[in-house]
Amino acid sequence: MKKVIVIALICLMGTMLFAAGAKETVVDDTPTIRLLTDATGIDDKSFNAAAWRGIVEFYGDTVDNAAGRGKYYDVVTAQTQDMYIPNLKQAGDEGYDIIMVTGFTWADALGEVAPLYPDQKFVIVDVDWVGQPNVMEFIYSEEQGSYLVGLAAALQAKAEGIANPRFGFIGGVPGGTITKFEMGYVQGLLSVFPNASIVDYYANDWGKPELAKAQAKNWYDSGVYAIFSAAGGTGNGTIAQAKEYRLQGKNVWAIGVDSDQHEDGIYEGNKSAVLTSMLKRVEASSLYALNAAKNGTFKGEVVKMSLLDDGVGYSQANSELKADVVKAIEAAKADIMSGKIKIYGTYREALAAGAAPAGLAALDD
Amino acid sequence: MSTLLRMIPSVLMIVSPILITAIGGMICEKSGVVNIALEGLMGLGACAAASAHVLMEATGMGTPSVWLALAIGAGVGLVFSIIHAVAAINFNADQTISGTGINLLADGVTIFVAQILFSADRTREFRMGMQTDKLGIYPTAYIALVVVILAWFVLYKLPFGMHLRACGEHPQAADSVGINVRKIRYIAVLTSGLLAGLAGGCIVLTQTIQYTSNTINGRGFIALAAVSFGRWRPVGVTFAAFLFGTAQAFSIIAVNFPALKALPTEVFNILPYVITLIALVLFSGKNFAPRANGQPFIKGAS
Repeated sequence: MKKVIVIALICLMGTMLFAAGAKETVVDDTPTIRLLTDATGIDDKSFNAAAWRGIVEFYGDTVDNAAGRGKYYDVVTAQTQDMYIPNLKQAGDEGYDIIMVTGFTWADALGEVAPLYPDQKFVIVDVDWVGQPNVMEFIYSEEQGSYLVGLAAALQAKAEGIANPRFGFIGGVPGGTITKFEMGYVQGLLSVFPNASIVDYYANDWGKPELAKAQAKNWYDSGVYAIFSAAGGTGNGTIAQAKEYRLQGKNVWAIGVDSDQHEDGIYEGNKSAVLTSMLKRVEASSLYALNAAKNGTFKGEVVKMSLLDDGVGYSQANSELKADVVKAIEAAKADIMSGKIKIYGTYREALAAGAAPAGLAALDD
Repeated sequence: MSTLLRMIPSVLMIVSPILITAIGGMICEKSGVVNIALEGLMGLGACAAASAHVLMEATGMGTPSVWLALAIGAGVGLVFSIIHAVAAINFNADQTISGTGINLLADGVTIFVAQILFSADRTREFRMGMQTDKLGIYPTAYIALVVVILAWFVLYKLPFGMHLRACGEHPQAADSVGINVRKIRYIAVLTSGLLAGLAGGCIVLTQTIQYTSNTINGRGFIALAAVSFGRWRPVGVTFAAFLFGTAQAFSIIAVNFPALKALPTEVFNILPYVITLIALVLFSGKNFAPRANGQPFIKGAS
């Protein structure tokens, strides 16, 4: 009897976990979409949040009032990578117009599942090598936005008259995508300080802020002025350390990534420890794909998002970012768009052109 | 060398919560109950502490908010460990199953609470967590120190500690001399819940800016490993927790030494696990586990 009660209790716990709402059937011809995310979910203030924002926006809702959730769109979070394929197949069986996944960690799973559902439209962001006729792939020119935040950090240091500033970069899992962030950032820094000392570190994890925090402390202590983290949740550690040190009166900065992380960095009043953020507007991909599905123009292709179509950018939310600095960044932005400034997106190219120092931990695909 | 010294506060920041949790797990196992729910209890404590801190901070409460949040985290850990205590001690259930149940429950409950409070799968970010002292060390390190010393003193210097250990070695014998085995096991399980919740709060308030489903990231299980690796002794557990923490910190500082940078980063990332494996092989041999660990106590049965 007692065992029965225990088992019943555990079953109850199980059902509580999986009690997410089921999709209702939709009769009008508005496209339906399911977003599949990695473990960080749609509130990562970053990548997944942006994809979700785009979806919600398409249906005229807001994130706080997602009225169409469960009717037109929903989201499933995969707590572990072994859930990627089951989640994809489940979504495929449930018949959404579009299944969207974010991040290159999904590429292998999607490459395996997409051919099994030839009539299903799939969207993946940050990948251009799935190459299936039913998969729309989006890639971003992250090196352009990262160049701008690197420029911002360097110009701010220069404007504050800091002698020999050092700069840091913290990445998540090394790979081609993150290398674009690092290379852009490095080239932005070097355009102001050609001999700047740059340190970098890969946590090999998107969810270990304690590693970024320990590294950030170590670097700030050794005279690093600004650290750019392109590391998902791991980057929260950098922001936490920068907040602590700024509150103690040290002049150090964190740089946010993907979404505007200004709010995350607020430590006192309206003061934020996040100098600027490299913006990657993944919402543009959601909107593009949904509009394509609506207009019947959806096809398997690689869509490139850059400064030109406002796919990447930088944040001016921090009022401590000096006006002259913003002006100079805007000028650089125009030069990048016109092709006057050339930015290398791979370490191989950047090294060959002498645009990045040797010895960085960046990896090309 | 100065780089290494500078890393000490970071090592303490990483080690403290693991150590606090591991000591709780040790006390629990010493009494004869295995608590694999440590991971989930840490998550519940972390979520509670983060939520409480965000809400209290918004009222302009200042520093006391951090401490109150820690206490709330510990309290929530204690409350949820009652489930494990009831299942394991009253119902004589399989302790692995009820522990796993709590771990699963914690995933759901924390997200559910965050949804209610903040309409998101994570808590809102707080402005400022714990502050370091002049040496750059967080109060969590001192909390961990106190916990270790207290645990050692109670377990080995007080009659209560001997009773508790007797319950884990031979509950029937303890029962025969009038020790209330169930009561002692209850106290042990609730203590481990309290400490795991406290450690969860320590993690969230010293290492990041909000609670997410990723915050604990397996550290409850590392603590569990530290218990057996440390041979169920306070000093051993402390050593084990430091070994895990230092190995992790080493992977961080290694990149700052040009000579070490020549090695692939994977080397440093597998280091904590390799060291653990080697240490396990070197120190294995005699079984140091409490003899009745994990076995339900049925009064009157022999």
